[in-house]
Order: sequence, then C-alpha cells, then structure tokens
Amino acid sequence: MPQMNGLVVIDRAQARQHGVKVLLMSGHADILHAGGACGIPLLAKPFKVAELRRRIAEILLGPASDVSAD
Amino acid sequence: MVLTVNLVNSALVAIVLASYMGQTRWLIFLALTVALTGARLIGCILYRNHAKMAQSTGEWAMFATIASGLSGLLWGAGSALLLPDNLVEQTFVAFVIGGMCAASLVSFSYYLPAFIAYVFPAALPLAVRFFLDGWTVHGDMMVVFAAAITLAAYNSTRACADGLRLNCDLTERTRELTAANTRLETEIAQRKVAEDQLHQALKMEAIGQLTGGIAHDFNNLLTAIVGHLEMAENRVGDDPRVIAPLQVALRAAERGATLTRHLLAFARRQHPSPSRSSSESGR
Repeated sequence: MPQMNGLVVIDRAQARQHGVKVLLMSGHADILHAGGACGIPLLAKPFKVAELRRRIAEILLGPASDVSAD
Repeated sequence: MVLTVNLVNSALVAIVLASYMGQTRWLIFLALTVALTGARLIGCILYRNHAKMAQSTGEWAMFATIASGLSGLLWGAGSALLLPDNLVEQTFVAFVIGGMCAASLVSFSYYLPAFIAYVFPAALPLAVRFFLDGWTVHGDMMVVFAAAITLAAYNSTRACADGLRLNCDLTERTRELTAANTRLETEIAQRKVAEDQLHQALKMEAIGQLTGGIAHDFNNLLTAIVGHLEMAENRVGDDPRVIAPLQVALRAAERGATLTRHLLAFARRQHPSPSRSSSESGR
C-alpha cells in the first residue's frame, strides 16, 4: 500500500466511523515482538485461510471495537 | 669538619697567647675546648646512627643548639676573661672570634637557632670587655659584626629552607603527575574497552534490524504464497495429481514460516527495543 501503512488506515477508518471493527495483519518484526499495536487485534503473517476466517468471525461476533490507533 | 676547625683554632690561639700571657689559663681553655669538642663529636656520631628516627629531630636540634651555644660561650668567655692588654694580641683574638663566627655562617646555614646560640655568646662578651676597657669603637664593631652576620645567616637559612621546600614540592608534584598519568592510562584502557563494546553492540543491532526487515518481507511473501495455495486447493476439487503438489508446496511454505520465526527471534535478541512510532503494518 503506497504512502500509508495498515495502522494509518485503521486510524482513518475509525476516525470516519467510530467503533468500526478491525483486524491488523502484520509480519513486521517490531509489531510481532510487541504482540500487536495500540490494542488492535493482531493476526500474524503468514497465516492459513481457516485461521483468517476464524478471527474475522470472532471479531464480528464480539463487542464493538473502541480501540483507537495512535 | 667544623669540630676540627674549632679544635685547631683553639689550639693555635692557646699556643700563640700562652707564650705571651702564661700558659695555665689558656691551657685550661684548650682543655675545655677539647672536652666540649669531644662531646659534640660523640653527639654527632650518635645522631648519624639514629638519624632515621625522624620523630626525635626536634630533640637532636635542641642538643646541637645547646652544644654550639656552649662552644660559643667558651670562646666568648675565654676571649673576654683572658683578653691580653696588648693591642696586637687583642686584634688577633678579635680576628679569631670573627673568623669562627664567619665559619659558623657556613656550617649552620640550615639552622638559625644554632647559629645565634653560637655567635652571640662568642662575640658579645668580647664586645662587653671592649666597652668596659673603654675601647668603644672596638665594642661597636663587634656588635655591628654580630648583627650583620646574623642577618646574613637569617637570609642564608631562609634560602636553604626555600630550597628544601622547593625540592619537597617537586617530589610531591612528580608523585602527583605519575599518579595522574597512571589514572589517565587506566581511563584510556577502560575507554578503549567501552568503545570496542559499543562498536560491537552497534554492529549487532544493525544486523538485528536487517534480519527483522528480511523476516518482514518474507512474512508478506509467505502470506501470499500460503493464501493462494489454499485457495487453489479449495477450487481444484479432488484431483490428486494437483492436490499432492499443492500440499508439498504448502508444507514448504510452512517450513519457510518457521524460518522467519527464527529470524525474528534473532532480530529481537540483537534489537530488543523496537520503536512503536516506526511500526508499520504489513502491506
């Protein structure tokens, strides 16, 4: 994604629509070491399709997200 | 040396004047001088043998001062009490006293009390005798001489003390410089070790960052590979000729994922404090 990373996208999306549900997919060393960023649910790359499906279902069935990406 | 001069001079005076005035009194003077000189010689030898005991230096100085005072008193008393009535002989005695005082300026140049203890008892009785005999100018000259030579001794002892102090200061300064130099050398060595460690740490951190970057890129590639292999697997149906190679490829991709986890673990050891602000999610 040119000129923007996933965290910025999440930040913009939440600014536009409060409580929007998000899942951060990352293979970045720092984010994986920190176990995530700003409390956003993390799916570590690489992953299986089944795992992606399960996480999306979890998040959609869970409570509304009110995390805010810095 | 000083004692020898003292002895020789007293012997000369006694011999010269004894022929003129009758021997007994000057022989007594000579005997007393010999006795005192012997005592001072013994004191001198004792001091040399015990000089290492620095704490008793004050006592030794007091003994030396008393001894030189006694010697001066002997000369003063001798010259004043036994002064001949002939002007030539009187001048001779005055010259001898003056010479002895001048010599003591050299031998006591390091210690003023001993000098004063010698010169005043040696010179002043003769001056008093001159005054009593009505030789005012002679007496004045003796007093002026004693005062002048004392002033010279004062300057001399001060110069001697300054020299000693300078010597001590130099020794102290040399010791300080040596200590400072040793300290500097130690600090340089410590600094060298610290610089080497820092250099090594920077190198390992750079390697850690590079490794983390490579793992990131491979994670993104593997995500695409795994995802698309699985999608292909779902769409191909039951054809084992296609399913089998797809599963081999998937297992290879999983081994690749294990490899990137190892790379990430290495990067974390070498570069343990990631900066959150520079974080970047996968593209």
